[in-house]
Amino acid sequence: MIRRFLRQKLGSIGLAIALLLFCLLMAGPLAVSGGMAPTFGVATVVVFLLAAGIVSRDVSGGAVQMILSRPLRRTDYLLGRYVGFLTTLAIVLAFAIALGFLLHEAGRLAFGGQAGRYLWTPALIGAGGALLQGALLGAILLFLSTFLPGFSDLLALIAATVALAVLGGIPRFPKLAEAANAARENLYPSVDWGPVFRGEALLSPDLGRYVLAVTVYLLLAAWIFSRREFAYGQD
Amino acid sequence: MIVVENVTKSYGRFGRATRALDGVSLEVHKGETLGLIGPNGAGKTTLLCCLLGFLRPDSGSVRVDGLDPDDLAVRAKTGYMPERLGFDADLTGAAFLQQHWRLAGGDPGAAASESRAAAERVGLDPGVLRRRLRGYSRGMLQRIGVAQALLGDPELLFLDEPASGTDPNGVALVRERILEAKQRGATIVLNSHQLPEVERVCDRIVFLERGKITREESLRGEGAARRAILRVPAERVADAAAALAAAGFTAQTGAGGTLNLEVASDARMAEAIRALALADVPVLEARATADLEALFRGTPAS
Repeated sequence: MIRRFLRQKLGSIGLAIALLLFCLLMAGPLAVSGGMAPTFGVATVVVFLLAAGIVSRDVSGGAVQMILSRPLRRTDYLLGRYVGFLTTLAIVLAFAIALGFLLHEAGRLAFGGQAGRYLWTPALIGAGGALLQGALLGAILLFLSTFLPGFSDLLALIAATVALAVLGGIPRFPKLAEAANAARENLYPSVDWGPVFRGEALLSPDLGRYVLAVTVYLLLAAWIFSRREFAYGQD
Repeated sequence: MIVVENVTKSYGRFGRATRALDGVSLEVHKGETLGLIGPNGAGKTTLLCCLLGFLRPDSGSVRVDGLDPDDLAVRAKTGYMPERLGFDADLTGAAFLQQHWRLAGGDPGAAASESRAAAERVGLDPGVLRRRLRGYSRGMLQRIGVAQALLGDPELLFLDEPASGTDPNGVALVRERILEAKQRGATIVLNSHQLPEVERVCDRIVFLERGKITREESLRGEGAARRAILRVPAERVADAAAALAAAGFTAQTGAGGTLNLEVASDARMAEAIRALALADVPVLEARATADLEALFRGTPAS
């Protein structure tokens, strides 16, 4: 299943070109700053490209029926999709860092070595954080994709994020804003990964919420998918 | 052996439910080839999905060799070809077959050779296998779908319109592969609207209409439902009908010198031909048929 995901995503010429462009967008700031300014915000778009419709597209296309007629547990199928997504994301991020290094070194050669050395540690910390934050987004999309059709998982995620952000910013209803912000913190916890990777915030509430959220989304996805029926033509 | 007991399945909720299966019971014996026939919307595919464990019956039960249909032990010996083929369009034919070979639990080292062999069995050459599936014609997709279902020679085969959209060569190839599987003892459930093909490969058919089995016919052995279609020179039809009547047959005459009569056995078929020969009526064509088309008459699509 992991290999299938990689083939699906990297074998598609259009998607491969899009991923390459996003790699360049991530590699550019890394090259200019010599690895010091890892800006992986665009990685969210990469996650959307890779994980939107991660299960539902297989269901609506009918591929899942052929796969599940084989001796494969439904949870193994889901796990394969998720690990395949994480592997692809890791490859994209690793490629972006390597591309940043190559561009940086090319710049050093072109400008007579005036730029500093490429700093791998901050670049890797940034990429690691983007991967782990992507793991959470991927888990949410996986969960939504087990019961929503097509790319509705992505639309639902965007709609929920926007709704919580709007509700959280209404000063006239402080209780509602507080509830929305609490929901956002718990449903989509954001972690500062730098201190975590340095071992300084391993017991932080943010990290706890993150681990809990990923676990709950994956368990819910497995629970829903293992009970789901597949009648093609019904989607 | 597949045992279906009083299975009911509805789609939709809140008073808008459509009953797709209504108290369906049937058995498919080991090594038997069962044909599911019936008009569109009769519930054939729903039944197939229940047999495969994709759908859970609202009531009743489905057991395959005493196990749930989605038990991994059942899946390990199952080959399935859906009517609507769900392919990863960017995969090559070879990658698709190899993926299913591995999913079926086949030796990964043999994936390439087994995939090539499976493709050859359905008339796809190695050059075609190197192409992406998005470039395949409908007939080629059907063929590769059949190839994936037959990977690893499964004991249970569920085929949903396997020859749909294929050319006459493809239809013949699919038939040959089904007959091969049958010869090695596979239990096969075939859903198809291609009635001549159903008649050629199936031992028994069940006719589904509005979610119910309305008729069951054996197509092999004594007592099997069949009709004889005899063709004689058009100017001798009256002589032929008289000769058959004298031999105790009631024949309906049709266009082009055809005569249609019920025959209970191969021996009765031979008697009918002998009666025509004795009356000196040349027999231009003689074939036995279950006349499945007759089952469809008066049963419009629901």
